[in-house]
Amino acid sequence: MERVSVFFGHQQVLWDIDFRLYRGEFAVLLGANASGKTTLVKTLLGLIPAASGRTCLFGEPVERFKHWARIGYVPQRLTAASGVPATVEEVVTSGRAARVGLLGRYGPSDREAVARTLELVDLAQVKSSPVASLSGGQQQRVLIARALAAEPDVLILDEPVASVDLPHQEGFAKTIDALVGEGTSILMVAHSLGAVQRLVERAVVLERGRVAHDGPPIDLELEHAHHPEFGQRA
Amino acid sequence: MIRALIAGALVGMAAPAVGIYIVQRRLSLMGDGIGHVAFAGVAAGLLLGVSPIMLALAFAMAGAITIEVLRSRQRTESDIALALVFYGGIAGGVLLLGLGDVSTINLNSYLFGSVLTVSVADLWVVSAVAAFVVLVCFVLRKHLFAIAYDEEVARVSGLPVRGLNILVAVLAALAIGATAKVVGILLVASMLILPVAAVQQLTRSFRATTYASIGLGIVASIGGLVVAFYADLFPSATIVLLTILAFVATSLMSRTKLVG
Repeated sequence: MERVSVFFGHQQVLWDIDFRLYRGEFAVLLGANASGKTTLVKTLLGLIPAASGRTCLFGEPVERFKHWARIGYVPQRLTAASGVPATVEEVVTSGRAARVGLLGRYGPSDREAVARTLELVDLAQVKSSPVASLSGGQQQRVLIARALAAEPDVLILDEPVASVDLPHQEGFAKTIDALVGEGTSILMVAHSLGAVQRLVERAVVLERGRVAHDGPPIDLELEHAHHPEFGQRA
Repeated sequence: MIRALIAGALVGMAAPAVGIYIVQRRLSLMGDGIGHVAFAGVAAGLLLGVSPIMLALAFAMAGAITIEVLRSRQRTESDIALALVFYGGIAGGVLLLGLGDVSTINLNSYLFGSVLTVSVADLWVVSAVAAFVVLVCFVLRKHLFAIAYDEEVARVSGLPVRGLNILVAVLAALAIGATAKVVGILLVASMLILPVAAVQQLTRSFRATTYASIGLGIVASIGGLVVAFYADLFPSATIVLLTILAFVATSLMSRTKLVG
């Protein structure tokens, strides 16, 4: 995205953001609460319109972008956990809905991809459980699995490990490592880095809607991300 | 009575089939809103001497599309969008009724249902509508589920979210237009919502919820009609009260399951 600004009503939340995710890169987007991280991601995905600037996906303006199968998006939390019950497998499979045509049906390759993803995030044994019965961390892994089931080239994660316990964070880090190894580009919004810290190649720090730092992750302790001087120091 | 049973079963099947996507998106009031617009259609039909059920279907579809468009424009104010259409429908209907002299008996049959007076022509309309609604819901279930479960992720995954949302609204309108003949406009949304609400207390998957709610819809329609016939009651009341009874029963069952 180039020089992108976003307003909510009269309030500006993003100022002149320049950001580009490179192929095969693992970048994290850091910042305090309400610094505009989620807004940036949603603007990048065309979910929130930008007031000015240019947003492109794979070189194509987001409004005209067609190859959505190349992008996997993991939102902050499950939006509908308390609605009509659905099993883990059903939700993860729904990640592939756009890949089968409107009149199509799920085939063996869909089922294989779902089974593989469930193994990857360590949820295969609870695949027939209703999603609402899982812990917060497990639900977040369901969301990650749903995005991965579509086998995207770019994965965008909004605070994926916020409520994932430490052993599973380690598992998550391994998954990220494997995906980057396969050439998947990953942008992860995070409040804290946890187990993936060692994998981070690039950190972008947002501060009150502006990019305060963009580069290698120097001193990426969480306290620094919160520190008002962080942008200048880094 | 045979025609009533067939119409009841068809409606009992079609209403929850689309209702489940409305419950999932927490738009339960949308059914009522569409029903109120259908009321304006009935009033227009009675005034102009045109088939009220056909006009109800047409008005309901227009209302449903309006709700969906308003909802997508102003993301956060879907309740206001509903209220506009909801009251606009009633006010428009009352206005139209005031223009002509429509007998209250005729009007009552649409407000409270008149399944026992279903004509052969009505039955054809109800059958066609029910078959269409069930077929589309079945074929598109994967996509409708993905959207109902998470609209933003569905949009990012490339699904035509807006088009499919409008389609669901139209399907709901069709189901409501057809259901209005059976349970009446005032109770119409209950057939979309209550069977789903009742069975989801016991089911674990979306798939099971879909089939079980359709099953309950059919059983409640036929059961309600039979009870009404023998006890000489209004079928609309017995059908809806039976689904509420089912809801109470499943609530108790799920509670005891948790305790035990």
